[in-house]
Amino acid sequence: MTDLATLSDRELADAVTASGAEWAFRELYRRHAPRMFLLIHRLVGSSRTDAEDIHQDTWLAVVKGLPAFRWDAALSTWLVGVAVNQTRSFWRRRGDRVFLSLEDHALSTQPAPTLERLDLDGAIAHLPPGQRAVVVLHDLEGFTHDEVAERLRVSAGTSKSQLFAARQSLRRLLHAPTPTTTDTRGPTCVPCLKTT
Amino acid sequence: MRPLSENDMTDLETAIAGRRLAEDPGPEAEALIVDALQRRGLLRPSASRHRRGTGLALAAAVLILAAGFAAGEYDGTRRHSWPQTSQASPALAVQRTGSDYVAAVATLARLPAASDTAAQRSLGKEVAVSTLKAAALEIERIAPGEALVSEPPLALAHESRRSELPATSDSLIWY
Repeated sequence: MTDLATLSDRELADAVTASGAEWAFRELYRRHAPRMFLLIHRLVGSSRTDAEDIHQDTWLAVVKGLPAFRWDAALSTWLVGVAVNQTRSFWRRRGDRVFLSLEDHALSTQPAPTLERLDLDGAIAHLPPGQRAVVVLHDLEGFTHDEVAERLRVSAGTSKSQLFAARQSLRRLLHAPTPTTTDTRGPTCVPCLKTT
Repeated sequence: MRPLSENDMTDLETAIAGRRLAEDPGPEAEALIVDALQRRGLLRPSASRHRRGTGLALAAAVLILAAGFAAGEYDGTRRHSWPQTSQASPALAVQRTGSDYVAAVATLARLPAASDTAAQRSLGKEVAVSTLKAAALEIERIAPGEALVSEPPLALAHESRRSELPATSDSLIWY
């Protein structure tokens, strides 16, 4: 009997697309759903119900889209793209204007949350959607600005400016002093923290 | 660029470094998603459920076959006479006529596939199938929804016997 853990994502995906194999889908789901769900939950903010709906839509889109996936990137990378697309659709349906000018969504206009000192997810949930999306994809998922821009259908410049604003907001929310000088250490994504 | 030490990190960077990597969507989520995919025809039911269903159908088919063969063998050893139908024992009448039916079809199947018997075989097959359909309709009438009347058991019986039967030019559905 084949041990499912030994099968690659591609082998499982092929079984799903070729014959609609439920066992293969469940294995793919168990491998990737926890990370995808967290990503979606962070993108939508605090509402778990919204995250659950988008998560379901995402997997439906994944199975429909698998036959067209060319495997020129890791499946997990493609899944992030599908999840972001579904989240964008959710924002559109809800009528959210995600990428406002930075002056439009200053944190001071929003009620200050009560956060634990390092409650990152609580702080991220408090960000405006555009800042939230950029900081999640860039700093937490490790995408470059070009990749973030491509997924969010904005310019790389917008991604950079939103990230700058997002980091300032997060520092404030996490009760840390905002740096007064230009940060020369580059982006604070985890790959950078590990390698620099 | 020098490596960052713990002291170099702001709270934000520390928080990011210690961020969660996964969140369980909950046990219901998987079931809901699988169900939604199945309803849309994007996934087939699980192998275990499918296997269970197939197993039951196969078991039913095997029972039918066993009964058919037993009746056929029995009948082949005797000269039958049409049973006297008795209102007191309609079940017995069905059993006997059913056995006769199976025996007759078995005889038909043993006809050599020569050209001089081709017409007999063809007519016999037509009659056998019509009789089987008529019997199925009657069973459906007395037992609506009876699983054995539906096609899968018959089809499975046919498939499972196909490899065991001597090669003939015609296929035969056993009952």
